[in-house]
Amino acid sequence: MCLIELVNITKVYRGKNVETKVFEGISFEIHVGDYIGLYGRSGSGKSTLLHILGLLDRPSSGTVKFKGTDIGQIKAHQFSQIRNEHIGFVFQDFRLIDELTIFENVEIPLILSKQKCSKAVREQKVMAVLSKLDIQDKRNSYPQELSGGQKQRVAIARALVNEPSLILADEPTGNLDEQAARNTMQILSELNKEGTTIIIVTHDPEVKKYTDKVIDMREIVAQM
Amino acid sequence: MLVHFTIPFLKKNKTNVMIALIQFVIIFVILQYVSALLLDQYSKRNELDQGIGANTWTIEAAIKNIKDIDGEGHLTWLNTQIDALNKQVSPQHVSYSYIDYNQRSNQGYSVLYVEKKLYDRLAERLRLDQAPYLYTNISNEKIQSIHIGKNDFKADQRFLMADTELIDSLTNGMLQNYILLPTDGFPYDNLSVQINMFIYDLDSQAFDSAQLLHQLNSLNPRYEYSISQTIDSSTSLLNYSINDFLSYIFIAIMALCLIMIGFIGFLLVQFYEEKRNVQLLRIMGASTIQMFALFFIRNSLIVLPAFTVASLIGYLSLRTQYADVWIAMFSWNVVGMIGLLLLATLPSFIKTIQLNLIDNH
Repeated sequence: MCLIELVNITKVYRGKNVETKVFEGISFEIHVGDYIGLYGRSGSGKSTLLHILGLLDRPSSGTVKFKGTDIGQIKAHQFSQIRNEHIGFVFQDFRLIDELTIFENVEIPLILSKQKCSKAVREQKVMAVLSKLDIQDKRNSYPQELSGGQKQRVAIARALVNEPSLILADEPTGNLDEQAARNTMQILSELNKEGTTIIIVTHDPEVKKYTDKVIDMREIVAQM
Repeated sequence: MLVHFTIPFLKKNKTNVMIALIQFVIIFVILQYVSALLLDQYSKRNELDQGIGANTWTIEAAIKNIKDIDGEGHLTWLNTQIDALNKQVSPQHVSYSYIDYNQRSNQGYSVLYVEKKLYDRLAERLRLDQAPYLYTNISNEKIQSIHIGKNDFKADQRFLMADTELIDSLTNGMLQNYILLPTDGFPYDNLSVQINMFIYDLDSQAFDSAQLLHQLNSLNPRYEYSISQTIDSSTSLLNYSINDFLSYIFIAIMALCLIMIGFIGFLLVQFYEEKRNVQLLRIMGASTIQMFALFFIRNSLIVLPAFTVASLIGYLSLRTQYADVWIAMFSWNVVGMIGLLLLATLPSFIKTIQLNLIDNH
């Protein structure tokens, strides 16, 4: 089943006098359960592609279909709802709010969700993902009290708490040591085995070992 | 639940928030004072408009040099000045009252002579058409027992006893208890009287007050003349322009509040950490309404404690002096504050909507 379909996507950044074409005419499909690595060097356009896939940015031309719906036809304010309900984000720098506890950080997507759930349900859902990632004992800690690996687990927990169909991870191992990076990749692999579609942006060749399919930005750009 | 997210926003900028809080307390206290003064003036002016009529003006004369009082006395109004006044303003709009300091009752009552047109006007306004023209419930016998100006006052003479506020408005609040007697003659030959000249039923566009004052001042250089609109008794005759000035201050303070709240909110979004958090919430799916609510709550958390403290200070210090207008003032301030918060939330909100979600990755 096709989750995301990109048809002839082009992205151009327009400055005052300069126009920078990041990529042109990209077409591919992402199916439910895929585990894809977007591989490429810095500046190759992989993050831009991830932003388009995550509905954080729109292509300059071409069509993006999310679960069969052309996102060009939906209004910008609906993007936030789709992001909240269907997409989980994991960042290189974890993006945790320092003043909130781990529990509260993970709770954010549930609070922002249109499908309001009670405090008890939120508590249950948050604790379930914290337990799944083996950080339930950190629920009352603050991000600065955690190691890099633990922070990334919290970030993954936050991405999972709304049970999204797609997880987009932007260099998830970039700020981690070798062991923590390996653990993070194993967690993502397990999530994929449970049915979650995962797309990882990386420039780390090691990451390729964990993914089922690699989209090399060099090849995409070479086709331009 | 959104309140929860605002805490980090405020904690991040603790010092700035504290400074903003103190500034807002000061601004709101000033705002309370200015709005209390304004509302008080408007309320009393309305009272007076009902009592003496709208668009009533008083021309006052103040001696320029105290050394000019040489014991012989002199006239505050000259014939030439009366002529000049009548040239600018139709006599039907001009009237006067005067106090004769030589005629004071030993029972605390004084006579205020009122020109007949003004007298009739007051009688009409005060609905004193019933004989024997008593405004208060003081009996005829009592009036007759008050031995004021026996030469002027006769038992069957038409007179008014007006309430303190009205009389104060006619006499600059100098004395409290008066009996008003109508008169047809201007007291040119009486050197011991204080004259209040009135122009009524004319709005500010209908006569050139600056030119009139210039003429009056040039015709009698010992005095300085001023024209003011009759406002109330406690503040005597408050110049209309001061009223405008207060309105300007009020508007200026409200504008300042708006700019400050808006700017602080806007600045907070500019800080990297704040921007990062806002981006994060947007990425996690915060809707535009949720973001607006978030900023509204955050601005409220900055402003409302200051408003509460200022209201408390205002209540404690103004409740006696401006008891009549306190509730109205407070209600208006609350409504204004909510409006202000909504408006001031817009800059942060717009900034958030425009925020690029993909930078700083």
